[in-house]
Amino acid sequence: MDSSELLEALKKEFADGIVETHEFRSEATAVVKKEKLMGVLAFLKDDPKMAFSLMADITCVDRLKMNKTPRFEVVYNLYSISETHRIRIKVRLDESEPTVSTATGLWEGANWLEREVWDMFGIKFEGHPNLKRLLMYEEFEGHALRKDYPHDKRQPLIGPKN
Amino acid sequence: MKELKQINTKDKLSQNHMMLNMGPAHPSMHGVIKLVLELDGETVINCDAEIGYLHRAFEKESERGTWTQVFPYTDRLNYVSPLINNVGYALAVEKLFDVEVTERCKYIRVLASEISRVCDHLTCVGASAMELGAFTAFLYMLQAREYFYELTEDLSGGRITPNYVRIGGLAHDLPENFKEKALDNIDKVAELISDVDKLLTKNRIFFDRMRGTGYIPKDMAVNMGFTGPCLRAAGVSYDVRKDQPYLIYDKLDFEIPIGVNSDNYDRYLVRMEEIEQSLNIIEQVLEKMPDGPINIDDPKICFPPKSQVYGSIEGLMHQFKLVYEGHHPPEGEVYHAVEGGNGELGFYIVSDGTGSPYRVRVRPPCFFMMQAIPRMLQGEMIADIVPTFGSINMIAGELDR
Amino acid sequence: MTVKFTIDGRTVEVPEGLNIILAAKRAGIDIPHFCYHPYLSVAGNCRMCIVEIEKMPKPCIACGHIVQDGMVVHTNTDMVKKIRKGIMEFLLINHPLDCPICDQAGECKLQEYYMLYDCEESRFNEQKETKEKVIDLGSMIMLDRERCIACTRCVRFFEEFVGDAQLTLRHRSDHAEITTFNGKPLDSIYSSNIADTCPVGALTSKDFRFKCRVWFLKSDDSVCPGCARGCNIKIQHNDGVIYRIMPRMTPDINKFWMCDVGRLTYKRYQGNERLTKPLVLRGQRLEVTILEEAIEELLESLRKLAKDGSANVAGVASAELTSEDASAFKSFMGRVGADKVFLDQGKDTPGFEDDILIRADRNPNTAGLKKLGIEQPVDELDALISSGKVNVLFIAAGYRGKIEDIIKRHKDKLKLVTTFAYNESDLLEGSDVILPTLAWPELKGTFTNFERVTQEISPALAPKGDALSIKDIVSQLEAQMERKAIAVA
Repeated sequence: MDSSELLEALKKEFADGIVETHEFRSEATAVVKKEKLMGVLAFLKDDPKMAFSLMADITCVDRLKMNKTPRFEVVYNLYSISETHRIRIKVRLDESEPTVSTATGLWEGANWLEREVWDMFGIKFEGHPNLKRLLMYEEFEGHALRKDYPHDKRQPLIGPKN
Repeated sequence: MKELKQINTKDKLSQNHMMLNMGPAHPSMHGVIKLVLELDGETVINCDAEIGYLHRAFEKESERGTWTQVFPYTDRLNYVSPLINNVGYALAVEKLFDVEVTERCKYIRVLASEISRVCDHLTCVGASAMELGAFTAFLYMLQAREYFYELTEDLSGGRITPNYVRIGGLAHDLPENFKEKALDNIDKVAELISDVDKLLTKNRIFFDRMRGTGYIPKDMAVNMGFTGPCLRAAGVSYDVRKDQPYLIYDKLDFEIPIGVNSDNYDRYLVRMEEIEQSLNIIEQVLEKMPDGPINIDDPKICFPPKSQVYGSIEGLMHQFKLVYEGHHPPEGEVYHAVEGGNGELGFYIVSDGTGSPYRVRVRPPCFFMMQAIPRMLQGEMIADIVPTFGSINMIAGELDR
Repeated sequence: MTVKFTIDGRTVEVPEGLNIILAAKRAGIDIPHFCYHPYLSVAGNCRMCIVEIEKMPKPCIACGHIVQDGMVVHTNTDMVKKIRKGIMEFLLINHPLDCPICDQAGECKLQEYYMLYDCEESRFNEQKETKEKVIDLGSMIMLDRERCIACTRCVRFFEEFVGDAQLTLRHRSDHAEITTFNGKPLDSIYSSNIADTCPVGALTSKDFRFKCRVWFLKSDDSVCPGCARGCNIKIQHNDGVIYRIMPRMTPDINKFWMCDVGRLTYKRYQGNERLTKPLVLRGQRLEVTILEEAIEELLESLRKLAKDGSANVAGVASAELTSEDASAFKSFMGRVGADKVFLDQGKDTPGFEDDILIRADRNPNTAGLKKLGIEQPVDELDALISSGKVNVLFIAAGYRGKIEDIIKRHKDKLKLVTTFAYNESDLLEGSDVILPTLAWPELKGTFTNFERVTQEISPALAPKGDALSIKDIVSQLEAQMERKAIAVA
C-alpha cells in the first residue's frame, strides 16, 4: 500500500483516534490519541493487510524550541517486511504528564528503545518490565536530549560537580 | 526447528547460582559491554547486558552544528563501515530537500557503500574466528580488509573516518586509475576469501562451536527488531537494497543469501556469501559507471569547487555562507533507511527550517541484536557467549552512539 | 492617515509617508538595500532596492519613493531579479577575497544578498583594483578601503546625526574612497556607530576586531548601564564572555545609535577584579569564607554593637543598582535601624554631556532610586561620620563610588562596614564584611532613565562564583535575623 492508502485505511479503522495525518516526501505519518495508541499499534501489527511486523524505531522529539505544545512527541517508525511499506505513528505528550503505555507487549524489541527514550527524554512507559536508564548511568540527573539540557553541561560521576 | 532451551529452576542444584561479570574489560567484549551472567556451573541461566560505555552524544551534538557538520560524526557510528553511514545520512537530508543526486554520484555512492560492507563483514568474520582461536583466518581477513581500506583511502583520503559524502554529492570524484586498482584488489580479496573459506567452513572445531549456538527463532528475531545478516540467517529475506531500493540497487544484479538454522554458523555463511555478492556489485558498478558531474547543480545545496573558493569573491562568499550558516532545508521530518553492514540503518531527521538539524535520530541496527543477546544465551554454555557475541557484530560506536 | 497599495499581488494598508522599503517590511516583504538606513537621509546610490512600479516607465529605487494610494509594486519580477544580480556582480568586481580575515563575515550584507539574489559564478577575469587597507581612523575605528562599496552611510551619519561632517567620499567611480580631512583621526564619541551601520567590512570596530566570529555570538537584550539615557542595547557574548555591545533600535530613546562610552562599559564587569567569594576581616586580614558564615559573623558583630547601644547605622546605595535591588536594600536598612539611605552617584558623575545622547549622570538608575526615596547625596555622610553620628555602614557599591574616598578618610571612626560589591576596589580595605553581588550582565531588573522611562534588563551571563543579587543576599540576611531574633537598635 502506498502512504495515502495506508492513512485512509487507518482513518477508517480509527475514526476518532487519529488527531491528524500528513504525508511528506511520500511518507505516511499519523498522530494518534494517547489512549488509542495501543489499539492502533496492535491493529497495524496484526491486520494482515498492514502486517507491520518490524518495530523499526521508537524515539522522541522535544518540541520546546519549536514553541509547540504539547511538548513531547513519541515517534514509532514501523515497517512491514511482507508488504514493504512504512508508516510513522506519533503520540503527543504534555510536559506535565509524559507517560504512555509500553509497546513491549507487541514487540519485544521495543524494550531497549523505550528505555533509551526514558533515559534521554524522561518519557515514562507504563507497564514496561524494566524501565531504567540505558546509555547513561543511574546517578545521572536530568534527561540529556531534552532541549533545555545544555549540551556542555558536565556531570562527572567522580569529582566535583560544576 | 529446535526450541529455545528451557531451564529448570526448580532443580536443587540450580538454587545456588553464581553471578559473574563478563566485561567491560573482557577482550571479547570489546571493552564496551558488560554482561552480567547468572550461572549454574557453566550454563547461563540468565543474562543482562549493560551498554553505554561508548556513548558520545551523537544525537545531541548533531543538533549543535550545521547539516554538513554531522557527516564526521556519522563516520564514528559504525566505524567499520563509515561510508554507508555517510550515504545514509546524505540520502535522508536529500529526501528532506527533495533533490536527487546525479547518476555518477549514485554509482560512486553504491561503490563506496559496498566497499564498506565488505570491510564490515571481513572484520566481523575475521574477529569472531580469531576469538575462537582461528588466528590465521583473522590475519587473512585483515589482509583482505587492508586492500579495501586502501580503496577507501584512495576514494576519500581517510581509512576509517572518510567523511566522503556531502549533501547533494560527494567531496570529490574518483581518483585516476581507480578502476584498475579496484579490480586488482577485488581479485586479491576474492583469493583470500576462498582461502578463509577453506580454513573455516568445514573446520571441525569452528563448525562445532558455531553450529547450533546462539539460536534465535525466526518469529522472535523479527519481533526483536532484527535486520541485516542476522535476520537473513533466520530465514527472512529482508534487505533494504532489494525491498526498498535506493540509489541504483534496482539496476544491479545481485542476490540476497538467507540462512535456515538461525544460528551462529548460518550467520557466518550469510556474511561470507554477502561478501561475494558485494564484490560482484562493485565489479558491476565499475563497469557501468557513467561520466558526468558528481554534484547537483544547485548553489544553495552544493559547495563551490575549491578553485572558485580560492579564486573569486563569489566562490569565497558562497563557501562561507554554506559553512557557517549551513543549508536551509524545508520544515519537516523524514526517515530514510539504507542497508548497513548490520542491517537497516535508518536516519530520522526533523528540520525546523534553520541551518542546523532540529533532531537527528539514528536507528542503530546492532542495537536490536545486542538486545536479544540474553535471549540467545539463555541455556547456553559460557564458551558459547564468545561466538554468539561475535556473530551479531556489535559495533559500540553505533550501539551507544 | 493611511494609504492602500498593492505589493506582489497583495493589497496592504500602511501609514502615509512611508517609503516602499518600510511599507514592504510591514507587509512582510524584505527589499534588499545597502545605502538606505531608516534613520539617515535617502542617498539612493546602491540601486539594490530597485522594484517595478506599474505606470512608471523604468524600474525605481524603493528607498526613494513614498507609497501612494493605489500604487502597484512588484518586487519579484524577472527584471528586478536580473537587476539585483547585475548590481551584486558589479559590487563584487573589486571586492577583495577577505572573508576569512574580515570581522563582518557572518553579518555582511554582501554575503547575505549574494546567497539570496545572486548565486552566480564570477565572470570577472581582470586584475582587481587594489586600495589601502588597515587605515587607523582614531581610537575606535579601522578602515579598509578595498571592502568599501561607497554607500556613504558613514558620511551621512556624521553629517546628520553627529552634526560634524568628519568623513567624505573622494574621487570617482572605482577610485572612490572614504576619507577624513587630511587623514585626521575621527574625533567623536559616536564614531563606533559607523562600524555597525557599515553594511560591509570596510569600517570595523577596533575593540571587537579579531576577537570572535560573529556566528558564535549569542545576543541578549538589555539596557546600557553607562549613563542616565538608558540606550537599548544587545549584549553579544559567548561562553560567559561579553565581546561587544550593540545598539538596539528604539525610536523614542536612542533610535539606532549609542555612544562609545557606553559601548565599553562591559569591560568593567569581566576583569580579574570580579569578586566571587565572600570575604570577612579576621584580625588584620580578609579571609575567604562562605556566605552563611559571613552572614553569621556580620550579625554577631551587629548584635554586639546593638547591645552597647552604640550602633548608628546608615546605608549607601549606588545609583547603578536596579530598582528591585535598591528597594530590597532600603527595606533591609529599615530593619537594621538606619533611617537614611544615601545615594552614591560615583566619582565619574558629573561627566561631560551633549545634546545627542550621553548624559552627565553616569548612572543608569538615578531616577529609579530617587523614586524609592533614596536621594540624599552621599557627600553629606562625610560630616555625619566625622561627628560620630554614623558608625555602622552598609554599602551597596557600584563602579568607582564616592563612598570609597569617604571610607578611606574615616577608617578608624567606623565600627562596622558591610559592603555588597561585584568588583574589587578601595572599599575592600575599609570593610569588615564583603559579600559578592551580581553585576549588570547577570542581573534581571529594571532601570528608570532620566526621562522617567522604566526599562527592563535581562541576564545575559551566568552568575560568577558564589555571587548573588543584593535582593537574594538581603533576604538571606533577613531570614537569618528572624531565626536568631536579633533586634538591632
